[in-house]
Amino acid sequence: MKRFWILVKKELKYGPIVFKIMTIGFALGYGIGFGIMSKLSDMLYYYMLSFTALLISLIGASNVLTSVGYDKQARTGEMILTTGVTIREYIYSKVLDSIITTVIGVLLFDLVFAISGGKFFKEGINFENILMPILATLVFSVFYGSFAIVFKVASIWHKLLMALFLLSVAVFAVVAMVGSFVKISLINGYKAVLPWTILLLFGMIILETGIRLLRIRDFVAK
Amino acid sequence: METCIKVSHLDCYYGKKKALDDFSFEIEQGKCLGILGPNGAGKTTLIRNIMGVIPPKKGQVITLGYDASECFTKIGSISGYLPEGSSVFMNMTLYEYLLFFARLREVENPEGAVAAAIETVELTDERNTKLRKFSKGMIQKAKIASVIVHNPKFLILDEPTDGLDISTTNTFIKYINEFVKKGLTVIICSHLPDVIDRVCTDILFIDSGHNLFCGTKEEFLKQGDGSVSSAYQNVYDRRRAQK
Repeated sequence: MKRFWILVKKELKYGPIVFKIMTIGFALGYGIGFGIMSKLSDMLYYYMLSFTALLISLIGASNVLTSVGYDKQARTGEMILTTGVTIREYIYSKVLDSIITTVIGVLLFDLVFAISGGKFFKEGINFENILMPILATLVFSVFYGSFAIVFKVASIWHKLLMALFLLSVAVFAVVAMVGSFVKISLINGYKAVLPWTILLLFGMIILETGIRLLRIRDFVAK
Repeated sequence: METCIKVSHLDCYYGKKKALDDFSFEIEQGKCLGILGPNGAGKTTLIRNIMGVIPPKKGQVITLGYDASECFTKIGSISGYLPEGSSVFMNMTLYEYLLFFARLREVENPEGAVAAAIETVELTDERNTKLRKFSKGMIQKAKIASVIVHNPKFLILDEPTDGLDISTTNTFIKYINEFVKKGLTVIICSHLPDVIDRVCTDILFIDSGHNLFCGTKEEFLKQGDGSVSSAYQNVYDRRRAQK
């Protein structure tokens, strides 16, 4: 665990700055723009939060993909993985770096969106409005993370297996999202959080399965 | 003397291509082994098998009593491995870079170990300088420092002097000789006969995944007119003639 946090700290502090700037820029620009335009019906608000989580997580996924790819080509991955670090620690540190950046981005979007649309002043802080985008971000980050890692480094059979997993989860995600939009006016408390929690658990299983398929040679340039 | 690394009947494939063919050799502790061979001979593959990065199809690598394919993490913690052409994290200072590796390797007193490593590679004045401001030679020194920061039992250096000027190469030769004097086992891959000649006690010649020669440097020099390059050429030509 100690090694894992050393890697996470390194990624956060010394990782590619371009992704962090992109995330913050996207969150601010998108938040202000859509906040002013939306008039903030609940339906649109939740839709925009999920959609933004999806898009910003994509930036995070690119970060993981680029970072692993760079480490492979620059042979820094080979150096790190021959210090006694496990593949799990290595991959999760990359994924967590992206998740932390993405969660900050999505919450920033949420805040700017709510302030510029007037919802924040009207309703004050709603815990669900914080928890829901975090969970959505985690779900998409885990999806993209496993997708990116497996497609970057694993064999064709692993890729097919993961594609099937991800397809089924994607269908589940759409169904869950549509369900939550339709029922949005009926939702009280934290019920919007439930489908995202289920998806997160599902996603974690997929990510873990993907990591188990990896071998150190997958991170070594030919 | 105790055996440091024992490679037995190693077969390794890249796809369908056989990279190592029934490869065996061993090296005793405190020796410096130079691995020679043409491009694509299997030198880096052999090193990766020793480090446990690539599992062999057949055969076994025992490093200080540990099986490389099973005790990968343990071998990582007692060895220092510098891959060919590896990069550094340019946004870090030298101190941060070495501290990162010292902590990853769970060194007891990381700050002290980093200070000692910086002193060894004579970069004390550059301790807080960003690595992006370093010259190629200084970066190579930083990389060497990163693989000795945890006091490893053996070092594997793949082309450590590649692209360095004569003066920096001489400095590296001095470092490697000092490591060997301290009792460290060193394996070094290099295309430069001069480097091999000046640091190695033993030589391994590899071509097309086959072990063509493994013995002391003196025995190897007898293959030619007394220089590493002539011995290299003779062993290489004989192999080509056999083919």
